[in-house]
Amino acid sequence: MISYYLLFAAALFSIGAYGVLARRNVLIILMSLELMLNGVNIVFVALSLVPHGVQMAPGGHVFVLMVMAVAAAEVAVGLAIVIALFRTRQTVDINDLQMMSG
Amino acid sequence: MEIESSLYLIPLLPLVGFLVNGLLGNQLPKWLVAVIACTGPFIAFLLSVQALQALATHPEGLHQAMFSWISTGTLNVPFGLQVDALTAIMLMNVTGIGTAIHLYSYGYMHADPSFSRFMAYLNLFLAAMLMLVMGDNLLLLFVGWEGVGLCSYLLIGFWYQDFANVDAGRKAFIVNRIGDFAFLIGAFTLYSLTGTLEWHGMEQAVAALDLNAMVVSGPMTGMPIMVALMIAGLCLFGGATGKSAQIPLYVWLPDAMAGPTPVSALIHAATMVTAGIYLLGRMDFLFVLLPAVMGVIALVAACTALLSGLIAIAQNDIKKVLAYSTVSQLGFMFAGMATGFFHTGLFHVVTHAFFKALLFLGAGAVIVAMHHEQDIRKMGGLWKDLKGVSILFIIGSLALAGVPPFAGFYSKDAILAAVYYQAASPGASPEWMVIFGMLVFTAGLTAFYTTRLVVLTFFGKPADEHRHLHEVHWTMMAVLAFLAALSALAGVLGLGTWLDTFTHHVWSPPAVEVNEALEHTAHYVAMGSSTAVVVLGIGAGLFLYLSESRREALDRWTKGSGARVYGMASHKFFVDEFYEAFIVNPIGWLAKLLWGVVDRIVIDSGIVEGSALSVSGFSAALRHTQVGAVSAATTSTLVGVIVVVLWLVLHG
Amino acid sequence: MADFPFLSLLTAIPAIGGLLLTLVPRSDDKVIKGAALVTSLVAFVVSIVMWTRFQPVGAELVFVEDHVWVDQLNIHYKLGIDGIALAMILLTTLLSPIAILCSWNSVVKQPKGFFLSLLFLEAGMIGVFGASDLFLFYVYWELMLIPMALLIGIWGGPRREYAAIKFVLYTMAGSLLMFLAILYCWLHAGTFDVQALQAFLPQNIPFQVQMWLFGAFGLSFAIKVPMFPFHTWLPDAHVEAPTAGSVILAGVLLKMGTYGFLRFAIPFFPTAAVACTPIILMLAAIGIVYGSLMSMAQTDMKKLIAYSSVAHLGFVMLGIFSGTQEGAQGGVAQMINHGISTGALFLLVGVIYDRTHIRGLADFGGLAKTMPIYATLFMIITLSSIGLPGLNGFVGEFLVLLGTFQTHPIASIFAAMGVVLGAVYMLTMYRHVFFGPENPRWKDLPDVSPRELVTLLPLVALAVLLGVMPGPLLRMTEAPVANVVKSLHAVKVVEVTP
Repeated sequence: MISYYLLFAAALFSIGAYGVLARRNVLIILMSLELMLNGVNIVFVALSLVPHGVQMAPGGHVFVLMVMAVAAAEVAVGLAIVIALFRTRQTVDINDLQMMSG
Repeated sequence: MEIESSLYLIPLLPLVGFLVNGLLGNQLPKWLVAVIACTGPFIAFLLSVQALQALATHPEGLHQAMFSWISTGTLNVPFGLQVDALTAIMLMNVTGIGTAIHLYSYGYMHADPSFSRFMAYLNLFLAAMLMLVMGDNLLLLFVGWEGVGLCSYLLIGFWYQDFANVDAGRKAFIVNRIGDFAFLIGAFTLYSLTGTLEWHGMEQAVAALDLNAMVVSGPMTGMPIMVALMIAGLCLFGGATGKSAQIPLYVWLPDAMAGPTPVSALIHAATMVTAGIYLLGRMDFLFVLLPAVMGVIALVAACTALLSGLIAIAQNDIKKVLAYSTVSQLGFMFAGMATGFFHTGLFHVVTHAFFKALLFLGAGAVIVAMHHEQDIRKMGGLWKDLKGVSILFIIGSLALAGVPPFAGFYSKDAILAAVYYQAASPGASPEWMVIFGMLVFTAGLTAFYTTRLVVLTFFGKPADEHRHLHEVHWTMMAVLAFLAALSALAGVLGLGTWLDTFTHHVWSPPAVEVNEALEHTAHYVAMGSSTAVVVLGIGAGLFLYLSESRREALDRWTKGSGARVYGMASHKFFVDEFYEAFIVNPIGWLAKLLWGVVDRIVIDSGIVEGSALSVSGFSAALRHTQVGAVSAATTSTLVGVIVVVLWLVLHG
Repeated sequence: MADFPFLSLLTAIPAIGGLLLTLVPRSDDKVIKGAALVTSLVAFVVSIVMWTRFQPVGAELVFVEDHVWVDQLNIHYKLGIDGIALAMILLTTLLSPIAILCSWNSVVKQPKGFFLSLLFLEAGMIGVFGASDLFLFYVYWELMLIPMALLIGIWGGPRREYAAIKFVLYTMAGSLLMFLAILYCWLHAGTFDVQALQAFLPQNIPFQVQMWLFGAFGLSFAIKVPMFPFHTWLPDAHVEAPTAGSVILAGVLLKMGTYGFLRFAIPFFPTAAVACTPIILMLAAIGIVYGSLMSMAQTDMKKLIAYSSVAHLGFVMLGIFSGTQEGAQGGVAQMINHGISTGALFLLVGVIYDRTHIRGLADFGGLAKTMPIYATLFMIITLSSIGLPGLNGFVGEFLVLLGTFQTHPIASIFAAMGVVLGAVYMLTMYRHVFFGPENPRWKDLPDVSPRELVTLLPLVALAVLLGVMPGPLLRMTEAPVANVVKSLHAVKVVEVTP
């Protein structure tokens, strides 16, 4: 039973990872990141079904809430950066941003 | 008013004068500046007289403890003032002549735009000098010691717009600092032996030392106490050679003549330069234990006297002649101190202050009259126009030359007698006879160059028939007359005998045995020989310089066959050049070399920037791994994560 | 009132003042300066009040505040000062308003950031002297580096970036080693508390390890002092730094090195300190003569004074490691004296630099005529710097030399040569700038303004006061210094017996 949840979570995570690696649009990369985070969230929630000793362990739920908060903040900051980026360079293509090249 | 509790006023009053004139002097009228500047020293003089009188009822001396200055660990340096017979004599000297010269300075300097600054410096000098002689410990003496050095520096370079003056002042300060270096080492040595810096404590501690034992603690452990004391004595004398212009540190004093003439009279003749003699007198308890050191001091002193006497013959600047003569007379004083008959040296300090101040101030009057001309070859015949100054100057010259019955005769005679007494005592080291010979010869030289100075300045044909002499201010004449009276009469009135009895109880008894018969012989030998050489010296001087034709012959000789001998003397035996070439310049080169090579190249470029460059080289190689594409970074991260996870799964 | 958190308040005042500055609009120049000045003055007043309440018994710490900061690692927010720290804090709070006031008109670029940096710097410095927890000390130690580097790197002269980077790298190199040593101490003692470490470390660390740890602490402090041959960052930093930066750098920052030796390195590892004494004394004595010779070779006023600091701090190190009460107290007195006289010297150079934007010795001449008040103040400070008796410099130098002579006479004699050389380079500088014929180029220079006078007079007054009456300063530092000296001597006894 639990393995379905985990497979679903892994699929979600992998799709997200693929998006992050393969897409060039920064916006899509950010959305893919959200997918990865949600994949992890599902693992947390799913695993709280597994008894830990005698009682259920709701610790995973706490982390889920935390991750959601962080993700929201991250999107806010990330989008702000993307907008600033677009304003200054008129592009959101990740391959055009190679200032850090050594 | 109880004088013992108001001793602090003596140095404080001139200090107040300094502060008032230094801060407000520019706004005040000149007469008020002069009144402020002269009042402090004058009241200090009156207080000194009171202190001197009080000594009659307090033979052990007056002492005023004020506060603890530096106190840490086992060291405790109080801030206290004391007056004993020795200090009292110095006080009279400093405040008495000091006041007179302040008065003279009004006449001499009142037209100068920086008059108030000048008077302020003079006041500061007096305060420091009084601190020097009144401090109740070695460190307070050092405060005054450096303080007078500072004032000397400021006053030599008083006309600071001319670099020559400033450099002379700087030279004086730095040469004195070299002496102070020795002084400090001597003080440290003495402190580690006695554990105190106070005169009283040191005297007792030194008396309690077992001279045949070894030092058992402190930095000189294992060294014989005698050797340690000798190091202390020699180092302190080293300090004295700086301040009192003896070989090897005398070179600053002639240059110091760049300062205004009252300064030369006050600081560089009458008071500051006798600080070294005062130091020896103050530390008599140490020096009487060290006959070998005393021998060295006497020898250095005699050499200094002779050398500078020789140089004085060939100088043409009226102040330079007097300056070298001062160095020479200081040699006499040191020789007197070195015999262990300390009152002889002190006596010469006092009489020398009278006549040398008179001579310098007289020279100042001449210089003013001649519109700031100092070359004696351009004077001549001043007798006719400056009768008053001439008579007073000649009185001073007679005293300097040692003609009886002027003051200089008595004091120089006392020193010569003391030296002869040393030399003729059974078991005396033979060097003392040599020293006696050198000093007698120098006495003759003194008479000779003094005669030369007087003849060239006041007699003969005027160098310029149409000169218009500047008027000499009345305050200057008054001071000259006062000093001339002292120079003429001090000896006759028995100042020497009085000094001997007055200060007798402060000195530690000399090492040689008292032998009355020998004392009488010494007295006659000294008187006889010095009178003979003085007559010879004056005679030779008159013979050579009074007649126009012989003078010209002499001139020809100095430019012709005698040029080499005469050149040595007129170029001061090239001592300055020697120091320049072997000490001053090498240090400068060393500084530039160390800076250029060690600091900038070895340490900075080599070690510091070298290590930075090696790091940046390494990172330059590493940075090629940074391609800058986000996808590359994320891909490599993912690959890393997969590798780690696989490893954990397979090996976990 | 002994429990009143003076130290927290003192660190907080400039920090909060700095934060409030960020709220002021950038264009309100006057408000920024005024607020900065008021803040630093308030801190100064508070430190004076603290001084009046300072009544320790022996060498104990007073005004102690102890709060747990990170429980798991046993890190405490612990403050507390002894006499030495109090003297240093007073110097800091005195120099800070002076530094702010002296930059009144000279900072045009981003004044807000400048004064903000100065205030944060002050907070950091007070924290360093007040910290009684090693971790907290390290935090302040590093914190203080940032505003100083900014002061040099942003508001400095033409080579400011080079100087700032050199300053940071030099200091970081040392402090990283120190951090490792601190961690080692923590691993073995389980605490960062300075007093606990003082009791624990000397007894429980083997000699070999002590040597390594002392080396790590010592190197970090030696760079800060700076001791020869770790001094080359100093001339660059001083020459490039703005006047206020130089004043603080010379006045306070350098003393942190010697303070570190007194407070940490020696009491923690006394055996190693004794073992290293000969080499430290040698470096100190060389530093004195070498620094003086370097000064003689300079043509830039600031560089000359910077190198003279190397010589003066050499005296401090000599005194601290002399192993005598006299020498060590002389060293501490010299720390304060150098802060006053060299701080004042940099202020004085700043005065003409503001007017002319030139600092070369040969570019001036005859200024004594054009600027008499300035010349007088400069002369007094010059004399204080060369140790004229009656002014502050003498007391320190004399005590150091006297103390060192009792234990290491050769080092003392060698160092005493620095006294002669000191007179040479300082008087030479004075000669070139103030004497000689008037340079027509500068004949219209105005004399010191009232504002500049306000910055200079306190320091000149202190130079005179501490020279005539060093008693209060010596008494304030007597007990803690005696503690340090005692820890050195305790070792000697142990060494002799086996």
